[in-house]
Amino acid sequence: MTFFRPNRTIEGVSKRGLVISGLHAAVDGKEILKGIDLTVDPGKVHALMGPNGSGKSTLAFAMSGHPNYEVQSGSVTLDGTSLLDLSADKRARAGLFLSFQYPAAIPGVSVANFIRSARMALKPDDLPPAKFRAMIYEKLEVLDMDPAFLSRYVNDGFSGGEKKRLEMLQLAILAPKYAVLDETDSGLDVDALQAVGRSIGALRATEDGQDTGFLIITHYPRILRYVPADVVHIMMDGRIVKTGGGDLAERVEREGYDGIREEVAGGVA
Amino acid sequence: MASLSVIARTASVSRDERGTHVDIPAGLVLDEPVVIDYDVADPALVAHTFVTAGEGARAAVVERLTGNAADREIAVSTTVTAEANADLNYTVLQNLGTGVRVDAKRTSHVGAGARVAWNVALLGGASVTDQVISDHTGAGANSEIAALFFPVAREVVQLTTEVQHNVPHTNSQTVVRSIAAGHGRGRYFGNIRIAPHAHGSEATLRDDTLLIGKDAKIDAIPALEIAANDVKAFHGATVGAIDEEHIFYLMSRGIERDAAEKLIALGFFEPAVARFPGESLRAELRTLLEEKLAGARR
Repeated sequence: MTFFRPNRTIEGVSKRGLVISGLHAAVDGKEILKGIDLTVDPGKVHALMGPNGSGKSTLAFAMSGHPNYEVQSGSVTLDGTSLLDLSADKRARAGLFLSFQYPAAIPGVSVANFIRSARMALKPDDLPPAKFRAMIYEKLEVLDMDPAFLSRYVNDGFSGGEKKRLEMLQLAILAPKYAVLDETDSGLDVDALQAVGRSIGALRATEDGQDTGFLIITHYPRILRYVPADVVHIMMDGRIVKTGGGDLAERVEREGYDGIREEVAGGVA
Repeated sequence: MASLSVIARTASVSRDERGTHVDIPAGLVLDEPVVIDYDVADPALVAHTFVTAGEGARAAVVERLTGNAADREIAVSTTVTAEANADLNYTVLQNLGTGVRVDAKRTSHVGAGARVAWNVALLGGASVTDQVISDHTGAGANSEIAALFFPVAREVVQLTTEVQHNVPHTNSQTVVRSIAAGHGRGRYFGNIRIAPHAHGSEATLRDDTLLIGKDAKIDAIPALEIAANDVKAFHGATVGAIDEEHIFYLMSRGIERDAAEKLIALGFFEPAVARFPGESLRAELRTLLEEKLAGARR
């Protein structure tokens, strides 16, 4: 059961949740998001599903503050903080995390240095170096990652699976308030998917991560076997056309998106 | 008849009016680098260095060129001779003050089967000209040149590297990384010359440049003169600003734009830094680069 909240944030009233209201956004002048209303509740797993080109990744980038994505109207608030006027780093410091589908390779910057810099930016001075190191090793183990990873350059020469694991390692270490995972499952084999599921499960079992809200963007429902969704949203042509429980993902698996498209079209006619 | 030969067991370092002489006798392997400190604040400084590595010797020399003096102009030279099968690593850490203009010429003669590795970091000085020329005199000679420079504010740096493949079957690898920020200006001449009879030689030249801010400028001018058949030569170069996608990725993790640019810029030097010998020297170099980056304006 999902409770939809009003789409407006009343000033001065802090409201928990990652609240997207009436969001319109364009890329290169072309409108992709045509009014998105969606609330991710703390501690809940929301899945955002939809066919290719429906605007799922655009939503992720627009929320994160990528300069190529132009928000035309609407709002995004994170536990009451309006995000859209903030630069990408401030959005992250407010508690938003985006796991990229195609994360950038940054030659010369080691994974260890990158992760330490990110953790320091988000949670300054909260862990002594020895404890931080121990934490990284623990998370590496959950993800089945070799510690030699730490001295490699960020995503430089990484396989697709390695890139996704590095994104999950960052998620585990940064323990954001809200995590948007953009097609984390694409290109992953079953072992890697299980590792991702374990890592997210482990994060949700920690004090830092128990309230983390997830928006899992995916084309296929299979990742939801490892990270079960509380709420499933279906996106088509820049709009959320249907919202339901975990069973909605099963229906997508059975019928594909065509059945839902017909139902939605029928409802309009 | 038994003959007695005396083999010198240590390297000798001496100074006279011509400069500093480092002699590494044949066969000697030095575990620790020979360190030469030149401070331009000394008005009587003679910054000429002569290094000879005897047959089969193996050693590293580190030249630190530091200090400041108002309106100072100095000439620096290095002459390295590596005899057959010697292995010599020569590192320059130039971190001069803003009052200094420097003209440096460095040459190596690399004998048969010998290797000379140049590691040159040009971090300071108002106006810097530095030339590194490696001349292959024996078959199977090998030169490696790793260099980086970093003009900021109104600094001007001109670097030339040149490898002369004069004999058959010699190899060279040149890696140059440069960043200009503020009104920093740089010019890099990367020369590879393969003589007509130097068949079987292989040369690679890779230079990459990063410009921070709209007023920074570095020109890279490669010149490959290949007169022999049956050789392999490769040249690759890039020049550009920091990729916005890289900055966005770091910012999406909470890192401020300024800090993201610094991480990326330091990382950019890393392929050259990684070739410098010894972790402590690399750490020293990274610290110097970080300090310089902290003071650099767009």
